Amino acid sequence: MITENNYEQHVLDYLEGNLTPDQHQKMELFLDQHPDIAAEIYGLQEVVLTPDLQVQFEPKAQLKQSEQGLGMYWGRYTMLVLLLLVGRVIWCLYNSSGIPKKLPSTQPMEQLTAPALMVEESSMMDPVGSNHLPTEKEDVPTPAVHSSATTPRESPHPPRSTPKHPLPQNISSDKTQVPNLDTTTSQPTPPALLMAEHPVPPEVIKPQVEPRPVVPTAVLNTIDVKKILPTKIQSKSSGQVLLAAHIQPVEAHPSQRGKRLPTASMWKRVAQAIVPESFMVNN
Amino acid sequence: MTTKEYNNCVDQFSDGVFRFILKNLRHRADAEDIVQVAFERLWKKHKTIPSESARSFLFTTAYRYMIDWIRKNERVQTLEKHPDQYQQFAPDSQRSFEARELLEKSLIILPEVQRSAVLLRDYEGYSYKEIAALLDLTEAQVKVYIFRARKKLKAFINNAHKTA
Repeated sequence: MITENNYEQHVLDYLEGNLTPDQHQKMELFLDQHPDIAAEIYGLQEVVLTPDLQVQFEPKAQLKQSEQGLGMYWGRYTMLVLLLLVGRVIWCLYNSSGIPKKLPSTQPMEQLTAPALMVEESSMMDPVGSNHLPTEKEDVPTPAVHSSATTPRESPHPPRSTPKHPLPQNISSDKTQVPNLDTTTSQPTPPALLMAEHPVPPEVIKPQVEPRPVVPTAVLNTIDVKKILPTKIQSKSSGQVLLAAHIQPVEAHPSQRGKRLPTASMWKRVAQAIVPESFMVNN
Repeated sequence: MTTKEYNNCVDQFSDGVFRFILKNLRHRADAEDIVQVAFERLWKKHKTIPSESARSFLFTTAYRYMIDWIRKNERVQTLEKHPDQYQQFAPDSQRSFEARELLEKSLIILPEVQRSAVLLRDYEGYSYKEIAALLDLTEAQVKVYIFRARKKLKAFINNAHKTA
């Protein structure tokens, strides 16, 4: 039933021919009964909006997405990783191309590492306060034999224990041996012994002829300070070797008792065998 | 929906959505912003929206965003109170035909829901059912709104011819 209250929802279908034949007849009957409404809908089909196709959304490109998707990002990431790898390889090749690290042209005598000679010496002497000596099983930190200026360079080597050979032969055979710092019985080394033991090339020593007092306190800056034999030697030149004649062994270590202890003359011979005579101080 | 299908939607529907919003707001920049928002939302959900539903999603999103925009701004209401200002926002192509210009002007007198329903029907060719879904109305309501809109447009044009 089409009435004045519901005819609006059927008008468009009537004009567009979407009504069923039954509804179409009812609608025509209704319009015949209401000529004012029939006048309203007359010509209504002509009121149709037509889009202006020239009006377009211009920034279409901003809305579009890249169709390459993840592949594009994979390509970028792959390139980045390759660049990093190439850079890493170049860096490794450059560093391993044999360019030596710069060493200081002069090295103070106080900075020389503790030689093996001192290991032999300390193992044969009874140090002061030996009850504080750590056992071989204990993990003892590396003695700080360096001065406050620089840090000595350490070489990788296995820890050494008490030497098995007599002192002179051992020294002569250990001329080129890497100094040992890890021994548990090592003591801070006076400069003289350091120089006598460590094979320092002359070109390294010569520039240090400039007078520079050797202060034993630089060596005493260690944890084993009580084990260092007192010496008041003041050298006029740091480039000269101070012989071990000034150092007197106090008492043999209990483990070395009964053995022959090195005397001052022995130390002197050892030093002369290692250090050129021009650097010697005749006392 | 794949990225390619989404880009096809941009090519196919961006102009229609833009015209639909432009006829309602009569402001090109705002219409472009709303179209952009609609496509951004489509892209965010493009994996879950099939390409067949993209068109209705775009028009629905744009329409709802436009309604929010109208409520936040009183630009449209101001223009309806001062219809003379409409001319400066109208596209140049609209002035090409006098009849079209008159008909387009008459859109101003329509309430927003009637205007949207007519535009969707005439511009985009949506069915009444689709328009009802887009505008969140019943199908009968859509038919009534469109009928009333056409009746007003017809009366507006007749009055314009009489005064001319």
